[in-house]
Amino acid sequence: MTESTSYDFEFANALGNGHETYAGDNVRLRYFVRVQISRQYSSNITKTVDFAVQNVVPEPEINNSIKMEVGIEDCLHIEFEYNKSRYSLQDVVIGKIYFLLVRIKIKHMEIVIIKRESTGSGATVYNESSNISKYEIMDGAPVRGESIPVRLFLSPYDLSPTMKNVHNKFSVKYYLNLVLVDEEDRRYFKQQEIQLWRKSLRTLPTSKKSGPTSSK
Amino acid sequence: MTGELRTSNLSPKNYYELYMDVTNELREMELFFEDEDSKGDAGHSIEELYENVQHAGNIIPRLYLLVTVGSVYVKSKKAPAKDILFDLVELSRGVQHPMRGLFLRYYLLQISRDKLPDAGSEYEGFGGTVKDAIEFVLQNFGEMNKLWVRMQHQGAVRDRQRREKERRNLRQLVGTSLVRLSQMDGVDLDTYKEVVLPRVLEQIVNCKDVIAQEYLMDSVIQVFPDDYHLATLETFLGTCSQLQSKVNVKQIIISLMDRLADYAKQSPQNVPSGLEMFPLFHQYSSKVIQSNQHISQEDVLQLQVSLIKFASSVYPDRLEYIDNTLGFAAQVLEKAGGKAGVEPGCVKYIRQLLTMPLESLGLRILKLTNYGGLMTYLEYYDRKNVSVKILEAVVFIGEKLDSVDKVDQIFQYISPVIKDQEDAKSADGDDGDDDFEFQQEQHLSAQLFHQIYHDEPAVQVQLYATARQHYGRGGVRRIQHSLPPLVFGSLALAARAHEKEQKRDEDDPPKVKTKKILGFVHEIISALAQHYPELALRLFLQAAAAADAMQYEDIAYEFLSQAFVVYEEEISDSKAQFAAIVLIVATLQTLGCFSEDNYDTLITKATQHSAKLLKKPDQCRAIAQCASLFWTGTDEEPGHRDEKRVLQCLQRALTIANGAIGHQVHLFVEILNRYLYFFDRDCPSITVKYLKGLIALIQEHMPNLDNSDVSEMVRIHYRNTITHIQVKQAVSEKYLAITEDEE
Repeated sequence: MTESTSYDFEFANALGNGHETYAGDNVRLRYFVRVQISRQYSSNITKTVDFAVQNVVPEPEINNSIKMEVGIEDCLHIEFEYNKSRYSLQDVVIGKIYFLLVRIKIKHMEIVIIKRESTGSGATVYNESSNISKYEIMDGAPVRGESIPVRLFLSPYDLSPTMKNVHNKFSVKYYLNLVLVDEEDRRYFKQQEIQLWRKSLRTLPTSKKSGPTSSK
Repeated sequence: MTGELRTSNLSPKNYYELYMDVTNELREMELFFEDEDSKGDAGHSIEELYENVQHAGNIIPRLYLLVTVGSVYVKSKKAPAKDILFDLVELSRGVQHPMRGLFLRYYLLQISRDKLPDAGSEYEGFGGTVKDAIEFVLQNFGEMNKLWVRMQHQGAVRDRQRREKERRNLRQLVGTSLVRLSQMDGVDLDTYKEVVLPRVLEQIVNCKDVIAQEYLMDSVIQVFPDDYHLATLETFLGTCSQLQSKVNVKQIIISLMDRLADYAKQSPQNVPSGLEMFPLFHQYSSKVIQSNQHISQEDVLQLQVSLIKFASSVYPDRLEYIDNTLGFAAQVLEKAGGKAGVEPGCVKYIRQLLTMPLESLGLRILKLTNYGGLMTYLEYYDRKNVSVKILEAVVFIGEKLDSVDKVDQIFQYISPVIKDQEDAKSADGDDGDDDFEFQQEQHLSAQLFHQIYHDEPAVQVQLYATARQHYGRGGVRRIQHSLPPLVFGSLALAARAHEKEQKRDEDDPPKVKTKKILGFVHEIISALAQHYPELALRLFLQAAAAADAMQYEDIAYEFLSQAFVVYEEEISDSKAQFAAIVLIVATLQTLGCFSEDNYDTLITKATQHSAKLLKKPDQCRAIAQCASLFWTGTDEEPGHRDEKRVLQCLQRALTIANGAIGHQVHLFVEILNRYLYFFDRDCPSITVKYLKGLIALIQEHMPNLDNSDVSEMVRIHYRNTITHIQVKQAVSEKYLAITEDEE
């Protein structure tokens, strides 16, 4: 080869598994294309180019709401409801918290989005949780019978879709943590898993990486 | 900046200041949002802003900003106003902290005030209907009230006072919702009746909070127009009985009654004819009284006062309303143990109950059967005050007392004034300023007397007799004030009766004898004689004059002789005697009905008494005056004329004057004037000779006068007399003779 030559290539079904690019706290999933030019007389020339993969999936067919009654005996009983169990990344969590019994002095209530990354498998599982955001939904002490609306926009946060058991190596799961804080700063909480999915491609204003490739 | 509003550390007053500062800034923010929206694609659209603002992590700033954006959103009309407004009021539920929540909702209310889809507003139709607007305000109101009530129960028990004070500071925030409702064009009478009022009342009753109930019930009364209240009166009053027991319901009922009374007075045509307001009020106030066992006597009476005020101003003709109310009050007091059970604060209410009907009813209070009974529950001093008020009112109105019943009753009501009461303080203790008050009262009572009148003299006699009975019980102090009017009234009545007798009208025969009336007068004056002889004397003389005018010689004689009796028996002070004699003489002189003999007796008596006066000057003057008795009448109608006696008197006077040391000249001059008087009237015995002699006498004594003021007066008097003679000389010849020989 003495001059510029271009070779087309194609990997069919390369991304058969449909996992997204993921860069997390303890684990990363990269896609890259590596070109290796072998030479007999000297070392190989390698060039690696990363590219991002976004996995756009269709609307889930079944998307039940989450509705649950929880409480502590004689202290606090609430019924919370979220309109869906699976949310797209631009979605809005709409729901309400209904107070059935309130015997503690509540200062405020918030919803925390928690991301839990579990790396490893089998015996050596390492979990790391991080709070993505804290969203205050109530200020002050309610009484029995009050119903507090929830409207949490997911778009402002940097979220990835839920990833389950990617190559048996890691999982990324998301939870909504409903937290009530009382006057003595005690925290009462209920965690609920939600599934996040990507509805449409996310474009960046200036893209350093090569254009996104969808793996439909 | 809006984050500052999250604080828990501020008292309501300070939080309010912070709130004002922040919302001022938010106004700027609103303009910025409007700007952004109008930039089209270059900026953020309002829908975007609406969403973006909700990304804020903390709820207070989030909602304040959202309300601000919402306001611009509504104005842009890119979405129906009602959707946005309902969304905002719904999301506001996230703030459950009472004070912060109240302010946030207040902000929402203020911002939305001109954006409601009210009737006739630009937002109606696409933006919603009036019903939506009302629903929005009502929801916000309901939540605000809930939060406000919740403040009562927060915090420690010991802080309750402070909390309640803070609550009262904030009450206007809640009240503004009601104001907004009342300002809505779409809230007409029917909407108010069907939609607004039931919801508001429901909220008031359900919140079960005393402070809220009191304030909101009162706000409803103040904020909505009176004709709405008239239409919903029963509903409103019905709710009153459902309020918490500690609520001052009576105050609410009273303020409603007062308002409606004013309204009914100003525009009576607007009161629906089928509406019996008073029975309703009476019913509900009774209910309130019965259902609340702890209601104080003061409260009950205050309610009655208000009812009376209402009845007097709106239904002045319905005496039974007032009567019933008075009866009820009396019952209450009786149950409390009669006079002893009256609490001190209640006295003024009882007073008001009694005096309020006076203005509108006047004498018709006599028809109120319960009136007198209520008076007995007052202590003496207050009773007296009420009596005085009654007197003042009746006198002012000037209504005639024309039946025995009326007279009887009215005198009964004013009995504290006209006779001593068992429970009055001992009269001995009263003197000084009480005296003036006492006199005022008696004057009033005398004024009242003159209102007793009836066309038929016979009836009036009866009325007077009744009055006499009442006055007679008044005691010594009072009769000096009360009996003279009686005398004068009777004398006037006698004149009327006499006139009737003279007329001898077949159709209207006289039913009472004048003489009887005069006998009545006699009795009255006699009653006075013992204690007030001078007064009695004058009255006898007055009566004599009246009898004389009617040609009743015997009666006049009788009066005059009584006058003499009084003089002889009761009047012992020299000065008083002189004054009395002068009066008698003056009166006698005018009377013309006597026969020779009678007249003779009388004037002889008069002269005798004059001579017996103690002081010489008095004697002299009196006798000089008696001279007139012997020369009465005019030239056309000469009366008793005895020129010899005239001269006798004058000479006698002169003799006495001679003997009056220190007063001679003074008296001489006076006597000279008397001589001149008779000379002028051509009394034959008074000749020029006497005049000249007297003038010489005076001139003789003149130089002996000292230089005191009195003497100076005498000189002036003499000079004037001489001048008078000179003037007369120009007119009449006989005067010339006086100075003839001197010159």
